[in-house]
Amino acid sequence: MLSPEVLSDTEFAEQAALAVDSYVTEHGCPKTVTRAQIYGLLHVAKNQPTSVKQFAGHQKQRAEKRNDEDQRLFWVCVEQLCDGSPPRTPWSLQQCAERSMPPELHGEDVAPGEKLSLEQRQRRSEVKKARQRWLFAWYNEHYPQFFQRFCAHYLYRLGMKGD
Amino acid sequence: MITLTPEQTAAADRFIDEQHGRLGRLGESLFEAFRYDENKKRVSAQVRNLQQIVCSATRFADIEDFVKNQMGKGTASARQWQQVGDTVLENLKLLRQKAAGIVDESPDAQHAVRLRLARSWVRAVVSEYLYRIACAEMEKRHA
Repeated sequence: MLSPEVLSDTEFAEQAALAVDSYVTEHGCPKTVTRAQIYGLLHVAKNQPTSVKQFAGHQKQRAEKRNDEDQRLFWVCVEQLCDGSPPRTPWSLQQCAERSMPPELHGEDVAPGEKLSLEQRQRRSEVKKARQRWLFAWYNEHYPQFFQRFCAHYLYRLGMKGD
Repeated sequence: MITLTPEQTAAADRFIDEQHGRLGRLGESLFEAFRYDENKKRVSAQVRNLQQIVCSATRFADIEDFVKNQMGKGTASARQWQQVGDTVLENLKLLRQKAAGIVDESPDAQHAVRLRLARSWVRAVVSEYLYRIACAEMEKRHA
């Protein structure tokens, strides 16, 4: 398992740049995705990491009301980077977290119809809670790092566009 | 922080030495883009900030982000950074590639090599920048 520093330095840097470049290649840097919005995203990621998806969803709804498709798709991109799944989203923070998770927190699959004892049910409940605690801590540690990379690369593309 | 082997350290230092020409040109480019405060005889705050971030960063990507953020601001300094920023980023990319070549089996050791390369790199680049300031000052005195 990579340390947070190494993960941030390698996989996060690469995936953040890929996501931004992919969006910019298709949509350019729309005027409505402003520096203020990028700084807002960064602020939320640093101060309320587990609220990033909610923030992105809210911004997406506002863009929909304004019929701003480019901006809406930007926030869709941010949402997918939070918890998107393959094949539509080849990489997301949730997928990264699941790969990093200790094996004992993945839990065991239960066959359909299989009845569990009280002890087994309690054990599954404990594992589920431990998993949620682990994910919460992972997101708090890693969301700021990832979105720092993402926002920096978007600002770079915006600056080179001349806006 | 992981401790590098003498061989890894030597390989990193040798690489920076071999890049002397390229780093000199970048230092000159920094001088052309940022100049210096001729009245107060102070180096550019942008160059000083670059040096500071490189020396204090615990993640190599923080250095890259610093340059990208500076290039992306809608300010006068952003236009200066846009003159040299892509070259700086290409240099940093080269350091990443070199670190992967020096160490290929340990992500932590690669990370340590990246940072060592970055710190040696910025010393060389800023040295050239400072030399250019000295040359400019000497020219003024002899004019």
